[in-house]
Amino acid sequence: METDWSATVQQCLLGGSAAWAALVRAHHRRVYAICYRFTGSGTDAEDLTQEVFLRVYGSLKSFDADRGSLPVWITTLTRNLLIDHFRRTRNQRITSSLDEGWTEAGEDRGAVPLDRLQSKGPGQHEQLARREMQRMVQQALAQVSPELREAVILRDLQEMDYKEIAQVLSIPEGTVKSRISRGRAELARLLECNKKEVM
Amino acid sequence: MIDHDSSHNRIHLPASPACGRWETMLVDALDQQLSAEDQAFFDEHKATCANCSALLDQSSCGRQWLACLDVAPEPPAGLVESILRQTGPGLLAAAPLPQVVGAAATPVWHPPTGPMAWLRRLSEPRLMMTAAMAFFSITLTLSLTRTQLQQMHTADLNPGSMRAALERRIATASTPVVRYYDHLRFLYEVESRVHEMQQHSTDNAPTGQKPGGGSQLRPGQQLPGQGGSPDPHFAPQQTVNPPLLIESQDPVEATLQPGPDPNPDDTLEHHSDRISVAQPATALERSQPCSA
Repeated sequence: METDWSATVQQCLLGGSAAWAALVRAHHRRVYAICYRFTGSGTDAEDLTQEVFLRVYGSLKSFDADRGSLPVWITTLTRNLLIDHFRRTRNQRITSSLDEGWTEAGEDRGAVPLDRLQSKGPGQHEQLARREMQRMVQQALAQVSPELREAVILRDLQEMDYKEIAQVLSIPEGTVKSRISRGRAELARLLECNKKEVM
Repeated sequence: MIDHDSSHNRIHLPASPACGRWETMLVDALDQQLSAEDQAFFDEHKATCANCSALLDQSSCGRQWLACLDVAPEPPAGLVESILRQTGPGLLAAAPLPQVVGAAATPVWHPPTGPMAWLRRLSEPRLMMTAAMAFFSITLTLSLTRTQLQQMHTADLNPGSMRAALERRIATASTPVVRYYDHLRFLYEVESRVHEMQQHSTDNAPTGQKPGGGSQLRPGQQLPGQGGSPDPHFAPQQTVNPPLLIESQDPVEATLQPGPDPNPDDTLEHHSDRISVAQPATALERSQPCSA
């Protein structure tokens, strides 16, 4: 059941520190997860999460419950901040990708083949393989074009419905579905390419 | 036929309406949310369109890959405390953040708060620079007008006093300049007259040395620059009156006056002359030309 956050927001606007703390504790995991999945970096995700809540607190007055729920509103702020961050760090990413290409030219490139990741070893080995597979998928997800990536993250990782995603991204619902399909396909192609390069 | 991109094997879907409709149905088909009618259209189109069929395979595969990211990443410890330290009532209430509207928020200057806020507000760089520029401008103006602030009185600030002081400053500053040009003009005039005299003497010299006593110089007279008389009382007398020369446009005439030589028939070399150069319009011998 979806919580009504209007009362909490009103208490925050009246200066209730407990209400604000409750709001932060309830939403910081989701915001951090979106940031982490989008950037692929824990440090960036932590900084962005703090920045998101700074913005949330500063613009609480503009929240209108009639126009959407609080999670959707926070997700919209998060998405806008991520897009800003993506544009701001474009040059930095180009340099980083060149550096990564240089260092990965050695024997560490493509550290673990896919068949090793899918091995059915018991216990610790299986956990290690699963963790490595998650790292590869996360790495491939970070290479998906941003407009497809955000749609895929909101749908497949945040499990938002199409209507909410359309509201967050400010695009029609049909476009949301199309972007999700193309994003998934692009991710599969990237992983397939990585697999071929490894083998 | 499937068109593959050379770099990422990207499928280029044809832009047909049927493919567009089918692509929109794709996510619902994977979620098994299609109605029977839509499912029939979906299956039919998939069987006939290779591009859409390949997209279905890849999209389904990508969805399965994403399923392994089902576990949400754990936020670092202390993130909530860090957020609450930076936000919350009492921390940002006095300085609210800019309202986020649209894609990006515009950075807004927040006035300083707390103790000595007015001082910190005044110490903003642009205000400090403005004050410095105003100070230098006023100092430069006072220096140029030689104004001493210690000597200023309230009466000096009324418009009449300021105008009189300004006119006095201008007159004082212009006096040396006027004097300088007066002196310069005087020197040019003297130089010009001397030059004319030299030229005039040079023109008359051959005439005075003609045989047969045809000289225009009287006995006892001497050309300028040909030595003086041994008697100091009969030294050549040259008077210059610059102001009158400046004012007058009349030609200058030179008059040779014979000295008290008892022998007027002597040659030019044996007589001392008195040369007088003056404005003819005054008291000089306009009617006595050089020619005898």
